[in-house]
Amino acid sequence: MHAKDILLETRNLSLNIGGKDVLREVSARFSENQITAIIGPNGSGKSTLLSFLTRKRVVGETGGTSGEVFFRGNPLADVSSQKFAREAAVLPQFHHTILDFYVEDIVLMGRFPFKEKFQDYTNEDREKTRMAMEKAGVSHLALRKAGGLSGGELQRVMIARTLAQDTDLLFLDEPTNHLDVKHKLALMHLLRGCDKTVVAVLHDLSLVAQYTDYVVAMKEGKVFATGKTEEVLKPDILEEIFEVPFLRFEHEGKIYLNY
Amino acid sequence: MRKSVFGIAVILLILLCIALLLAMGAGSVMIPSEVVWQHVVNGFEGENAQVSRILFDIRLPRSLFAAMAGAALGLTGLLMQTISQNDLADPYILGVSSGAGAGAVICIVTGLSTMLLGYGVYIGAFAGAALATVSVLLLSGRNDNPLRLVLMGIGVSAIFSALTMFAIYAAKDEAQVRSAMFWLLGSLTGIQWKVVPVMMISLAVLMLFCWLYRHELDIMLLGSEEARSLGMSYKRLQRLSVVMASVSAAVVTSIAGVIGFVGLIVPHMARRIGRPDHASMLWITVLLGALVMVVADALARSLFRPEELPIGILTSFLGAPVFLWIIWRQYAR
Repeated sequence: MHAKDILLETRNLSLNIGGKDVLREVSARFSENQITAIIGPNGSGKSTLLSFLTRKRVVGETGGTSGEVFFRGNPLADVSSQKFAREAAVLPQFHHTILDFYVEDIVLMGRFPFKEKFQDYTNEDREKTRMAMEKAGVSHLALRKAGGLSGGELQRVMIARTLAQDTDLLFLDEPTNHLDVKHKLALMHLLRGCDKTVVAVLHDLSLVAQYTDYVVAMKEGKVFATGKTEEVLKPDILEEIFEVPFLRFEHEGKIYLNY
Repeated sequence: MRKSVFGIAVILLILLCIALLLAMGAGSVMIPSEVVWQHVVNGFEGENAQVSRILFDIRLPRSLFAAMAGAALGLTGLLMQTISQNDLADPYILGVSSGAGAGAVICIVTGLSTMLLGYGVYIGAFAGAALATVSVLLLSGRNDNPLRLVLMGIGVSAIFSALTMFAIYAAKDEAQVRSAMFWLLGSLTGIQWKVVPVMMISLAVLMLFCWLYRHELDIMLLGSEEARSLGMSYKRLQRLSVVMASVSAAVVTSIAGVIGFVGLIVPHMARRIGRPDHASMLWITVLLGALVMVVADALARSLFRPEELPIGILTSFLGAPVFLWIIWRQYAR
């Protein structure tokens, strides 16, 4: 892997909250135009690692931190949050729903980072919003209020907002939450098909096996294993991380995992 | 402004004009609306000089003030609900009313009200409101948690309310106590032309702020974390909104006292009849607030003629059931 392919990188990133080491010396790399999954058991530091990559936590500003995070070779801390919002879209694990807002207005908010001060949304913004809703399969919900949607529909609306931001970099924290099988696959297919750098916290290892290029496997705040997906998703590695037995078989070039 | 909202706004504007016309006729001396209309068309010159004087010197400034104060209260209520992410927020939630009340009552009780060119109560009330707002902002510090902000407001309110009650308790004569109580109830009695420009400027600034920041205010509803991931500086807008809303609420309160429930229910009503985004809410809230207040003021003047009811009592009487109904519907699940 050449250095120029690396979009994001953490070096010896550590976080201590109240005497507990949440992250320990995490060094991980995220390649451009690839899908990288962050996997690991509950409480292993996946979302915390993501919070540093999304600039929600910043080394130095957040207490108890040490190490470095680089974005395009420069410290991420030097990038302002407005600039970063034009480069990266974030789908949080828990989102705040404005119950009485219309879906199209919520998705339109994804265009906010590109607006100059006091600038109104343009037709181009509305067009991008429309396309994002189509991709996320929520066009038919455009004129519904967020308060009346199901969990899965809401999750897709949030995915649409993330897509409307139209950035090269996507951060997704458990994006398949609440989604049924059909929409799970549709989402992963969509991510596979778009030319973006995707960093996703994922629980479903079958999806990881079939749709991602790289894996960062975490355990107890440390990077346990990292590399190409087929190299990391091996029963012996997974058994040590998740502490349950795994079976792996391959069929027509695809990896299937059973536990 | 969206098309659908535009239609609603036009209807509200027509209703507001009709309400203003009828309200100008209402009061201890009832004036038929044809006469009011003739005066409006002829620039307030009429055969009966006394009627002309009542209409132009007393009822016109008062009705205009009522409309603008209602608009301002509605809009401050909306801002406070957005800032605090809480449906139950009203213009006074961050302690503006308690601060203004304490300032005004202390001025009345100490006799300061008669000094300062007769503007003593206004100035005292405004200073009190400003002090309360600054305290809340300082106490909330760098933290951007809206709940914390609201709780700070409640704490600061409590201190100023205690101060108000102490001032009333310590008052030397009955007249002062009556005057203080009357101020606390909220009243549009004695509104004159001289306060109209202040109200107008304050409302215009508030509306301009809400219009310029309409998209930011929408984003603010997402909470600090998501707002930041969309590149918005949440804390800065939070502070700016607190200052804008508080100054505007302080202007209304300094002049007319505490007028309850208008700022709480008007944004709720506006959300039901219009669209919930701030660009639409701005117009509907302003028009609806004005309408509600003009009607309430007309009722306050005419229900117990020739006596006048303090408008604060009336808005609470009318507003509380409407509020209960809204909560009943909204939280039906």
